Amino acid sequence: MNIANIVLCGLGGQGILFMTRVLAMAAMDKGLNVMGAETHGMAQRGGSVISHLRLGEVRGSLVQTGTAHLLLALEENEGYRNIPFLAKNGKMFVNTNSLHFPRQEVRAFLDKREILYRAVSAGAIALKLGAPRSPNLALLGFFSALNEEPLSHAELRQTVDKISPKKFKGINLKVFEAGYDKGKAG
Amino acid sequence: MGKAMHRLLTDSLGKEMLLLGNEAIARGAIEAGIGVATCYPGTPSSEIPDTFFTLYQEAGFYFEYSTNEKVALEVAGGAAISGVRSMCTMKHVGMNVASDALMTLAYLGVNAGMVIINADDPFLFSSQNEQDNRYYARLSALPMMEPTTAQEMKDMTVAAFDVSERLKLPVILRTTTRLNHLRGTVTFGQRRPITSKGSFKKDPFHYVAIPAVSRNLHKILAQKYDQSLELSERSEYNRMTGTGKWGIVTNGVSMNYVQDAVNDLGISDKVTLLRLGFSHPMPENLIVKFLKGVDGVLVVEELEPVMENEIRSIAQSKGIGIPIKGKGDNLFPRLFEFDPGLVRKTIASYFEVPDTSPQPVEVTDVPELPGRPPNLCAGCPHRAMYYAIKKVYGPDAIYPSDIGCYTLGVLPPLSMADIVICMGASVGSSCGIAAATDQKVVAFIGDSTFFHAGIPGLINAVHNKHKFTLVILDNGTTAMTGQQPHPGVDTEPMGVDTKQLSIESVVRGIGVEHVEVVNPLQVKKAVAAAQASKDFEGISVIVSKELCPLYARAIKKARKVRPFYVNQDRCTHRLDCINYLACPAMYLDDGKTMINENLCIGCAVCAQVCPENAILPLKIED
Repeated sequence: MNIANIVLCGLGGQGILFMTRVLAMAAMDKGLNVMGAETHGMAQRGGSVISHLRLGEVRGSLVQTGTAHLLLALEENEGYRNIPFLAKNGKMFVNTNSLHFPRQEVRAFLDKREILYRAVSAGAIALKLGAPRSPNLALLGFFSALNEEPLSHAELRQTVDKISPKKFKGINLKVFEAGYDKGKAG
Repeated sequence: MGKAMHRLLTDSLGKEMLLLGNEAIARGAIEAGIGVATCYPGTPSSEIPDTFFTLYQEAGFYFEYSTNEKVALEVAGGAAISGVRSMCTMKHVGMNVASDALMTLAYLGVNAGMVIINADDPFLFSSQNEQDNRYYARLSALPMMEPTTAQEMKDMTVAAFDVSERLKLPVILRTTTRLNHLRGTVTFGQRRPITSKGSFKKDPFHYVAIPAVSRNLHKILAQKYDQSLELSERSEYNRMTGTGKWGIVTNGVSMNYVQDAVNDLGISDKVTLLRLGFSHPMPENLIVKFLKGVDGVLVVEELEPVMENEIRSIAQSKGIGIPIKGKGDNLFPRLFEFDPGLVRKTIASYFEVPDTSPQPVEVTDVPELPGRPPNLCAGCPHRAMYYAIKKVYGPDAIYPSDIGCYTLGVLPPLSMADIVICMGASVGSSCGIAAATDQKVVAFIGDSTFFHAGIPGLINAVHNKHKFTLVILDNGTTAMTGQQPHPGVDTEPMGVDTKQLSIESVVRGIGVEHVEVVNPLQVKKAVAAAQASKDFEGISVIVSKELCPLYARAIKKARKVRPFYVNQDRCTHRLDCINYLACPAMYLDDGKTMINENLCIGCAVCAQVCPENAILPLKIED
């Protein structure tokens, strides 16, 4: 049974739900069963926001601790907060400007569980392109460079193209591609 | 020319879409041919009415954001009695407000399908309590249904309309936050035609609930209860699967966790699973059949032991002595939502099978981070009004507050909420505190909340001559739940024809003698208004009027953004700005006060608060 457990996190207003929708739609277009659990309401006032996404033959929408294959964090500390979700050999992509990522305090944990971690200044990429509120697309593009099934770069790009509102389509794709280039560059 | 059809209105049968649970319910209502929809918004139910709002004109049914849940239920009830299919949506605590109408509407019954969406909130993601509203079905004798997946949220909505029309009773569809906000695939069904006009047929000896009539109506309700029990026995949503000796009973979102757990543990051949989707009345015969086939039962339900107690009572009446467990005995907690891992672990230990699936991760070497609760936005006018009030009244005055974004003012350094109970209670509780103490009382209530439940409290305060100040935080929208309109909103730009009410006129009409309307972003004027209210003996009202900046942006009424910066040569590090305002756009960097120009919306409140005039607007180039 092939299941992908994904956790997306950050702060209210950073575009976590849009990022979730891109991944979910891309998976659905591949014919995968999709189950998501989102945070709406009070949490969208700059507080911690987390979104669960499960792809494949699952019923429950909540990812259990220790079982996430992928953690996408739009903010560094929210990334740390949700590390316990990651499975052994899981992957973590974090939006941060910090040169000290990951912090000393969590490095041992990540290494022990053989978690792959990568940081990108997604906020800076988006800001440079004149879209300060779109670090979500930069991070998603950065992740897409991993080019892994069931969510390859081409599939995610196509979904961003498909679900972005007309007005933002151009800039969304630009930010997404800039993130991708950064990811590919290593 | 024509706008593209709303995606949820498509006629294409079998179309698959990825939907939020609440969107699935809205589609279900459309498939059922809904004619009238009403609501008061509230997390986690809000996206149902918000979806209706985007499509009701195109679809051709009537929709309104009602003043409160009681009114919403009465509107939907009036429509359904007039022969038009109706839906009314609310969060769990909204049902408390609506319950007066609910109890007797159950007596009256309906002539067209009526479905009440009741969204419970286990774990209190965004609520003041986590009451289990399955008890309302027991209290009102109305049928209740509980979906499990996005698909069922649509399908069961349609089925609930059918049950309602069979029984001529409103049906309650109960969801929980995890269902409302799940995202899953939904396959669309046939759309029934929408009929939004019916006719009220006079029958006062059925519809006028005076004692002589209601005695008869109660008899009718008892008969309908028996009929709904029959429907429940036959319902496709009440099903036993498997033939094993280990019995599990479950409902709602827990069903998903149970199925994953049974698969993970590899015990599906040992288990008989009874899923109760048509959960009130509980299907007695089916439950007896189930009980007779198993050696023991584990009931997996969030919150109160509702099914557990009823199943135990059925077992007792039939002389069935097998163990039936759920809450208590250190199995499942009564508090908060379930964690799928807990469900699996409890199933494994109850039936004594090894739990080989992933165990909780050892995280003692990961440092714990402080929580990051939601915050008033940068430029929020509530923050400015809190500043003015606190400057005049100080930290010792009592600040009753209410339900809305402004409740977030409870956190330090603002610390501007001392008691919150429910919608409107800021006003009523202030009457009591003012009557019972000699302390100064300043209450806060939002504009939508004022219309919802604040007005009777204010009438009480005026009539009974209570002495306190009520600040109505009028940000022109129902901000917390997603910027829905309310009676004080001009809805013309939204293309909706409603009459806008003036809060000031309402307050004056009630008889409040000291009323001031201020823009809280004008700090001096706001402080002066606070002072005048303090000097006034009796009940006074300040209407703090400024648009929610998020809403202003959404309706394109936001001012041109001119962010501010801190002139470091002038700043003497008194930190009044940080300590009194706590705006998320401000931060300390190496002891220096800084403003994040991407977050700052240029409200200029900090600039007015700064004693050194060190906060200045950025010069915008070009």
